[in-house]
Amino acid sequence: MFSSDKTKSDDIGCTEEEVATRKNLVGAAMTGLLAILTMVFSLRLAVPGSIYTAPGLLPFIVGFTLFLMALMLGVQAIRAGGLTKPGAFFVGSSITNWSEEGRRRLMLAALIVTYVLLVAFVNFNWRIPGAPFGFEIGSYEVISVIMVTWILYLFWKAPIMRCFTITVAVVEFLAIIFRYGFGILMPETF
Amino acid sequence: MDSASSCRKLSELKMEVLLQVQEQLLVILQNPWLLVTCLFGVTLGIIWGAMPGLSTTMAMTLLIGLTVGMSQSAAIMFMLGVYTGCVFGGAISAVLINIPGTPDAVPTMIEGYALARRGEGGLALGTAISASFLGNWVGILLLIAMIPAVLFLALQFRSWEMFLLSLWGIAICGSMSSLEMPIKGWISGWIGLLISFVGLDAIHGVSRFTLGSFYLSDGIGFIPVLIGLFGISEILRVLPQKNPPKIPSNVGRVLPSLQMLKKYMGSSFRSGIIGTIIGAIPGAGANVASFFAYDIGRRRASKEEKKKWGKGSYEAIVCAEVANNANVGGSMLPTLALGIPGNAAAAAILAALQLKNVVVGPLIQVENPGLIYFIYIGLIIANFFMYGMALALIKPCVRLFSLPKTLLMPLILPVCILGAFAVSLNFFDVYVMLISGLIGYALHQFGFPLAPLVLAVILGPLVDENLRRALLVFENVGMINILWDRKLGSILLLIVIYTFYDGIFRRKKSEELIHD
Repeated sequence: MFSSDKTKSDDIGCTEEEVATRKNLVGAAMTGLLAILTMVFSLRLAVPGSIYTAPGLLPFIVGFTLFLMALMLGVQAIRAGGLTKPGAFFVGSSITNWSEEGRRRLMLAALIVTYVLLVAFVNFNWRIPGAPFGFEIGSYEVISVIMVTWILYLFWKAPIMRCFTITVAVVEFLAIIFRYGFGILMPETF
Repeated sequence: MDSASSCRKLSELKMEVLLQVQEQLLVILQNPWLLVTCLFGVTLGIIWGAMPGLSTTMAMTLLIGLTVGMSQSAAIMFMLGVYTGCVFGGAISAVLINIPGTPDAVPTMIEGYALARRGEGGLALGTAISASFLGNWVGILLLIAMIPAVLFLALQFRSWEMFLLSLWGIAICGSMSSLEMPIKGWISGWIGLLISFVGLDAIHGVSRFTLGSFYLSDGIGFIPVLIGLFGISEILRVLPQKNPPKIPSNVGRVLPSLQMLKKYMGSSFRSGIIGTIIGAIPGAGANVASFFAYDIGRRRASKEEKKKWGKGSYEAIVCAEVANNANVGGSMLPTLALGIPGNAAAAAILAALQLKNVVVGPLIQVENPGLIYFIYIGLIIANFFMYGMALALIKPCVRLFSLPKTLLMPLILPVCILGAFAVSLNFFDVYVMLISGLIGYALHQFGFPLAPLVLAVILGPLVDENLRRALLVFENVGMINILWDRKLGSILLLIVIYTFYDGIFRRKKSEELIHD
């Protein structure tokens, strides 16, 4: 899973292996927390019939075994030196790594979230007068063209007109296939 | 009845089967329209399957609508074409862009993408095509030859066995996708199980983990989760990189050599048998088949081949692809003979047949004589078309997917949104996809594999319902009696325990041996 080479991966002198071990420790802690929450919520579920058909039975078993697995992962990580240099697990992870790549990733995530929210909340439909098959353009196409062109321009770094042309072609092809080929309603219909 | 009359009856039965097969073959060959609809279905299926996250089930469900205006025979040929094409199509995007078209293509993705990055994408796909072709043949022939035996074995699977089989599928997937630390694979699978519990419980209708949300009462669909985990998280991971990995546009050799095919013949037949039997078990789909065959293949591989497993092994691709394609033929058996679909895609075939007033079940041969044979001949023809179309589409697909990732990845975004939305025409699924993508990215950063999570979301309801049904059946039965009376279940239980034991204790030793 992780490279075992001893190259220094950060400026406080952690190897990639050490960073991976610390990540395992954090992963174990988070998994353990999830397992405990699952067990608590499972116990609070109603038991309408026999205990054998209780809705919380398997979730509780899964929560309990997940807790054991988290414990095993945590013990392995501690044995591998996960508790030395506390705080080092933040290093090397691009979640908290404010390098250029980290910033670009955060910006991309924000753009994708914005794209999804715009498709969810902006709804309109334009019928093109005189077009065959009652051809129409919906908010999904317009928003997709704007957002994907923007993402392409930022990451592909081609001239904006080229990004725009490619996006229009792909989005329209997709929308036509789904709308007229498969007869699927588009998001703006709802 | 004496042995002479039994032999005579058997040979009469064989003659009848041969005559039926011949008759149905002539019906199809004399009607070019049937061949055209099948070819159209195969092409659509391959293209659909190649699109990231668009599953076989989704294709089958959505394309049923197109069969409304077709005759019964044409509709069946079309749906069989889509089914066959889709199962293979999933391998294309898995190998070329590391996003499986369908969940059963995940093992192919693990191996094929590693090969594609080394410039062997063409041969990886060629191997997948040949394996798919072979898998379909194995599935169909085994089924025609062994219908009674397979049916008998499939009927032995009751709640307890189904629970153990599904649990084993998740455990195997966890072990295989996280070779150095199987525990991380299992944790990922267990998280998937927790996700599958969200919604109304199937036995009592009690709301579980819905946090009072109306939308969560319906549960979390596996397709939005699949698209999010493999689509959105891959975009988030790859696009911001300064030098994202690129697939070489030079396809290179596509068709595997005869020597190579001969080398993997044993693995092919073993995986074909696994795929057919698992396909014949109601509820266990191509996902379980491909992971199971993949794991057995690794255990049986030579020491030299074992080193390549997980880093680009052709034998691994053969195992997974043969199994998931043999599953197509296998899944048709309980669908047609019992009226119980072998998997979700087979359920769509069932729906298409019902749309054409065909009632499947034990009386199918009485009420619709020859239909079973028509379907098997249809599968054989669809298989030939799949082979031809897949070969024709490889080069354009490699060229398409070898475009810079910075161009390709943003263009996948609208497909992901539309794919997630189209499942149930509910925008909530798009939010599920988005959240799954963000969680998938975080899990990947912490070194947790994503494949077991998806498989567990799919198999979770099966695990839950079957365990509770089995416990209810066993309520007043002693442990020894259960173990003794349910021999198949006991064997499966031992296999499950061995899988965990192997992952925790033995894996480390064998890895050390391999490194030595």
